[in-house]
Amino acid sequence: MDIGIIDYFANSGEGLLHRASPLYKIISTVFVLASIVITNDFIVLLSIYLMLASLVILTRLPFLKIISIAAYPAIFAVLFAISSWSEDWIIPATIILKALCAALAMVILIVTTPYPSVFSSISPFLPRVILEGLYLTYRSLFILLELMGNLLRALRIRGGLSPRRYIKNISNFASGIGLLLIRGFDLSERFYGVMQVRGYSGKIAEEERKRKLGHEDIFPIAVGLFILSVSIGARLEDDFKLYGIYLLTLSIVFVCCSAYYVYFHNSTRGVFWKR
Amino acid sequence: MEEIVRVSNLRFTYPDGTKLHFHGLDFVVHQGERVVILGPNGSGKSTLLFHLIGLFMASEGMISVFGVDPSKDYIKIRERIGVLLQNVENQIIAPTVWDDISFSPRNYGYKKEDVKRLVEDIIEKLDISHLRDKVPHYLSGGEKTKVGLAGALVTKPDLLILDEPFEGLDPTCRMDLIGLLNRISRENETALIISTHNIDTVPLIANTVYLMAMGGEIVGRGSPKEIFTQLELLSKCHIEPPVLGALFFELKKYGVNLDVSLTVEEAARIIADQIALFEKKKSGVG
Amino acid sequence: MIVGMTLEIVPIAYHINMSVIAGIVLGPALGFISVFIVDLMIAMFGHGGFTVVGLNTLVVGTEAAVGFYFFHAFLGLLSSSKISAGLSAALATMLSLIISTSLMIGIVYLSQVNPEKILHVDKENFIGKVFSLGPHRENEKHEMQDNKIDIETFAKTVFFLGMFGWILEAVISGFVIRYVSRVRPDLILSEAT
Repeated sequence: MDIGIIDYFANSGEGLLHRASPLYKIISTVFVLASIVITNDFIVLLSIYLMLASLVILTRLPFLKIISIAAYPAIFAVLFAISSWSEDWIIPATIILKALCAALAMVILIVTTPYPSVFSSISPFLPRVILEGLYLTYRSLFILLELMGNLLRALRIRGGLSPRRYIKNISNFASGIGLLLIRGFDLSERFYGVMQVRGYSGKIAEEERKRKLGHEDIFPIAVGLFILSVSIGARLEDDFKLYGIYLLTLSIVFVCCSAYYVYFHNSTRGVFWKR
Repeated sequence: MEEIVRVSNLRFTYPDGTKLHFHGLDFVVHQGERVVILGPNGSGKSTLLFHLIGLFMASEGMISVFGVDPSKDYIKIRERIGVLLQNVENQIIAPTVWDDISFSPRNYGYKKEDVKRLVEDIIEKLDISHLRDKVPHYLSGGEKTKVGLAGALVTKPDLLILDEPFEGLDPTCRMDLIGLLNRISRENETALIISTHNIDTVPLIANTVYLMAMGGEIVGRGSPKEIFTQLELLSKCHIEPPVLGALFFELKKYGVNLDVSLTVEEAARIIADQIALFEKKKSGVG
Repeated sequence: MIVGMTLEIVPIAYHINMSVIAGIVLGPALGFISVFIVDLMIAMFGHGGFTVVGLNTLVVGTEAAVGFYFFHAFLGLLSSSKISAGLSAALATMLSLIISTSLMIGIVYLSQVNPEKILHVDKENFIGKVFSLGPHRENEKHEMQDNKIDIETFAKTVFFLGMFGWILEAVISGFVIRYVSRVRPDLILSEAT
């Protein structure tokens, strides 16, 4: 799980979606997730996946890296797919594709939106204690990750992780985790002390400043609405399904257009595209 | 000058049972004073500072900050105190720099416009406008120190407490920080209480130095010159005098008795004057 | 828990959960809340499962809560033993994981129950038509029909694959709690008082 790299992408990316307001991106993601829940059609899901892939291209981030991060849930979807196996491959493939589409929609949101902005946008819907917990967890996470890195390095340097000494390795590794747990507790106690000293009364981060709808906000909303309407249409209208192949072709065109726009049209050629 | 801090005969026991007793001289700080606490590791410098900000409660003794016991009534005085801890990473709580600097005023109930004005003001003063929307874990050590300091100064406190603020800073950053702290103290009459190991920075910032020995005993109080000329006292606290001070003491062994100086400028002037006097005598004799 | 998830012990992302450790240290109530926060965060880290955060919280939170009670029960039984804390944690983790896995299988089984059959919803109703699980069209090649997961196969697969994880997590949890009980026993024993 690449927490650090996701955070880095979100904070330093320069794509079209990075400039959109977090609230509208969240709304768009909700539309896409709803459409994935609604639809059970393989062609429609494949088209949605390709449209989402075109959004990944527009983020100007490493394409394969993003797709691989979003492919993680497929591991668990395979379990369900195996259990649903009949003679038709369509059903297991649909199950896996649903998981992939949902994961990709979320990953696009989080690689283009810093976590504090996401938390601020969903703050009206969460209890204060959960929200504050999210902020503090986010903040302390990177401190603990650095500690963990130092710990693993120390274990390796001092012979704590040696080949073929499995029980000893597990014991040392677990002691390291125990140390991290204690450090985490100490860190939280220190944070609490500092919060008291600095006058904490329930506000860690500022609420997201509302701004006017801009053209970069309209784009994700439009994409989300389009995907949702396609799903609803496919669900309700029998005739709609006949045009599945055209929908798939349209998605492929989206992918090609996005690639063209990012690679050839824009003068910066995409900051991360070639990395 | 108004007395704002007094600590007298304090006893404290750590969670692991280790006892500390702040005895000897009283620890006193006045408005606008720049106080440095010097002492070896384990002498209780940080523990003393934690008592001043109400994080520790003494089992015995007297402690008063702006007239109240901080362990009981810190809420009454917290807006007048700014704190910069040794590991500034543990002090930066909020997810972005702007959020963190504005943390205290927002939680104290300041109006939005006032919060914005105060934060913009301190960001300009510390020259960290470019860090406004950054996330703290991507900042360098020096930048984190500045952000921590901004968070401590945003409400224009009357007292600023800094625990080892110069640790981990390169010489340029260290000199910048010293200049900044001196300026803030001068402009706002903010009292400073700094604990440090960095002997050579003491003459550049302090007008009062407290010397602590192991176990919490406060053995010395005075100006940097008064303290650094007492070699026996320094030795008792396992403290080496500043480089310039040591130079003048060594020169005495060769029969060169010059007035001890702790800053480069003053030392250069004294030595230049002495050489000029020597040249004059020589030409007079010749 | 999140930090533990970044440590892939075996490829294909086999990682420790530490939910039982969280339950032991924080207690059942705070453990449950922390599981929710973590599930929400990891769903946002690309770990997947954003649409099932609630169910994940129920399953993993149960693990944390049940783990706390099992730990103290075993601690009471083994209190005279030198390795009581670590062994209690290992046994508690094993049992909690078995229970939470069974809960998950139960939830999957329940999820296949067609709500139309329970609620007698009018199939022509617009909202019902959009969200109902049953098929709407005949001769449809691309759509999932009224298909059910073979719960027996699913359970066998999950139990088989999960067994290795339970053992690994139990062993690691045991060592972790043994370490913590030596360095900061107040962290794991304070919740019992």
